[in-house]
Amino acid sequence: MRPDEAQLLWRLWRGEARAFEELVNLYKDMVLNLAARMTGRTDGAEDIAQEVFLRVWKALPKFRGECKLSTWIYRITINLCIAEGKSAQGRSEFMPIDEPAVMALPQLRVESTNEYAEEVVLKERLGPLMAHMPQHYRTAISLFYLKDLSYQEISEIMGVPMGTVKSYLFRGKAWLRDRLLGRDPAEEEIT
Amino acid sequence: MILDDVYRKLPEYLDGGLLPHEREEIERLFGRHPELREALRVSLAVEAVLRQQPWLSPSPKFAHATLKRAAAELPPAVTAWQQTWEGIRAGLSVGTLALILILAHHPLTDWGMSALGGAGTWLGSLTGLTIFALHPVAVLGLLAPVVAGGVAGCVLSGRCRWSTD
Repeated sequence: MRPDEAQLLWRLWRGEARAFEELVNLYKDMVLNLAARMTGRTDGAEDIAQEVFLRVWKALPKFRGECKLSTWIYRITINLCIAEGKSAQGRSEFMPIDEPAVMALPQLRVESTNEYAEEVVLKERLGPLMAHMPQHYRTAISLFYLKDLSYQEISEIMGVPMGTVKSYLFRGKAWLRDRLLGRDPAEEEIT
Repeated sequence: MILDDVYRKLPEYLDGGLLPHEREEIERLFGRHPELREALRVSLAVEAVLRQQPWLSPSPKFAHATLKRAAAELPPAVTAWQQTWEGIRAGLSVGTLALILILAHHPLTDWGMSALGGAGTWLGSLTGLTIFALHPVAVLGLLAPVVAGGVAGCVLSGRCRWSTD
């Protein structure tokens, strides 16, 4: 734990409201972006981020510094996003992946030669696909493409070995690629 | 070899995580399978889009709104200081109570120690215990002069002694 982080934690343990404000300002960007990527939506990400900080404030007395403060905050964010995703599915806010509205999103044209158009289509499809990606892949990809997070930090946040993090990343990207290509990943023999 | 294996290994291929002979084999297959080349191209595009995801900034009022909501919705967090004090308080209560009860029930013969006996009897009662459990510091504050007076009286009169019976 960095000395400045330890000092902030000490002040938080003493119940300093000013320290909580510093904590919010320090992590708001990362929490907001992680929430947006985990849910695949930008609307509502700020509400989730706010809820994360309320939970952090509530749970602070139980935090004993076994891991970095940031690691703990990311874990809370991920757990909340997963719970939010499940409850949104329950409320039918998320469309199933085979829903006509999702299928109607622009398809990637295999023969496309216009890279810019392809990029636009990819960006448009990425959010909805991310929201439907298996949870472990989604978490690994969301964390990896956030700023400055190493494999080591991701493995600590997810509580899995580094090798597993890499495997989730590879599989997650393969999952995205296959869906973008409309490819059924059933086994094919090379002839 | 299964084509699906090659598709699965493409992200590792791009990440430089494959052994040289695996790389060579995949590169050989690119020449024979246009669909693999297409998958490689899309993989590169996916990688680029993931890296270019927009970085969101919270609204300027985010921190203020969060603090306001925390103040409105949550009771003040129980601080580590408070938790530590609760622990000390509980330990102090149990320790002092045990000490007083031991002293009070020891067969003391002197008048000074009867004060301790009285305190112990009172603490031993349900009411005394309840009050002590809720406000140990206040009770100790009340008992302290009694105990101190008893001990001082005993010592000064020279009549304070432990019974050997």
